[in-house]
Amino acid sequence: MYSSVCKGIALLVYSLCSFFISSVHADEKTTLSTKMAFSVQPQQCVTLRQGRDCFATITVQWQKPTEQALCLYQINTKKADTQKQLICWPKSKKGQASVAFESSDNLTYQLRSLKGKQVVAETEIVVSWVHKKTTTRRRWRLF
Amino acid sequence: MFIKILNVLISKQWLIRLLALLCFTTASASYADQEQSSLTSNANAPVVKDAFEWQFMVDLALVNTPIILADVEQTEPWDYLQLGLLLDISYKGFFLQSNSRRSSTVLGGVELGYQVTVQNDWQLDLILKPYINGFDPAEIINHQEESIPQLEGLNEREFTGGIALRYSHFFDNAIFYIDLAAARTGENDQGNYSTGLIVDSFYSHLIPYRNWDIYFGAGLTYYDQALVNYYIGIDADEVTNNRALYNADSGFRAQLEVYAQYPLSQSWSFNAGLTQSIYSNHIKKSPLVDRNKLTQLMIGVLYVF
Repeated sequence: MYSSVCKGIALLVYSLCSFFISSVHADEKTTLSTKMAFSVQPQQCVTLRQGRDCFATITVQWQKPTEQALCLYQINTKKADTQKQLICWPKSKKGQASVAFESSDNLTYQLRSLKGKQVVAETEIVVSWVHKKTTTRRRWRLF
Repeated sequence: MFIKILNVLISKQWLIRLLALLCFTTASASYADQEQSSLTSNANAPVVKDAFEWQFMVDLALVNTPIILADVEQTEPWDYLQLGLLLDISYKGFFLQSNSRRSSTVLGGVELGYQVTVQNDWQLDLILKPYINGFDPAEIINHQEESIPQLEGLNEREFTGGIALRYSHFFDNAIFYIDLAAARTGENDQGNYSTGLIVDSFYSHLIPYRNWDIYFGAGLTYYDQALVNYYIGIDADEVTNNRALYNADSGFRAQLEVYAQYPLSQSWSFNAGLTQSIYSNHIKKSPLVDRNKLTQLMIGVLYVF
């Protein structure tokens, strides 16, 4: 009896750990190199209506154990992979920048090496909305 | 309630003529739609009527809403707090729309309508909606801190509903609409009611600024003499020392408005607005009225399900 309870607890702990580890792994999908920290804040931009451009000022931060010259790219995968180079840092272990966000689509941000343009980390900013796109044309006044 | 109003409206001769005109217009517009869709499929073809869509929202706001009645003020803190349950549904041209800009009582300010024709830059609807709020003098007196002699013993005024033909014209980031409404007040305890015409027009221009929506609006409304008189006129059986006999004229209301909305999250938005209303100057001659200019303010949040 005691043994089966222990087995049950062990199984539960294992499941929770597995779930936690897989969650952590999912969170780290934004960073290709596990030795590198790359964050973009905020990760969501909310607009009033679906289809409208969303505006935000985002803070980009990265840090890695070895020095490297990196560039930040903005990619819109919905518009034929439109990409724009935003900023480049000289050889450094960390970098930070504020970037203007203006889009109606989700945008991907990538850190690429200055030489070779290899992607070392990436993340996405999601555009969401309060009111979904509708055919109804509203005509309300306040009072 | 609306069916009851409709029945009474139909009993009026001049309203029958108005409805006949509406039906004629409707039939012509519908025929025009059929003809156009069968003959052409170009960019000028009618826009499809609203498909099945629905949205439910809850609105919580602080409002400063003075009214034209003499000496009536918002007294308690909760007088400034308003909760609105707002439901919008549309299906095959029929629609039920609540006023998502205004916090009001439960399901207040709902319009029931049918899209007669929908074109790229204009639209014609038949609508049924409340146009003027009523008031119960006894309830107002109970609620006020000081007595209001001119309201004591006054008959209750019910709300006014109407059936209207609405023309809307759409511009880039702007809309103009005009309602031609056959309106009828509710019957009070004495069985009194009035019918009349309301012509209600409004222009609203949207200026998007980053994530803000900022609307500037202007409106002009005409109220038939019978309707104005129902609310602020004094009948012979209502005359007292504080309330002389008064027969009101028809009236106008002009409005200027600014309204802004900002998204807080996927479900919440922040709303604020200011409306300046100016009624015809002569309404101040009524013993019940002491002002013809009202400044109304609203600040609140909207939750979208």
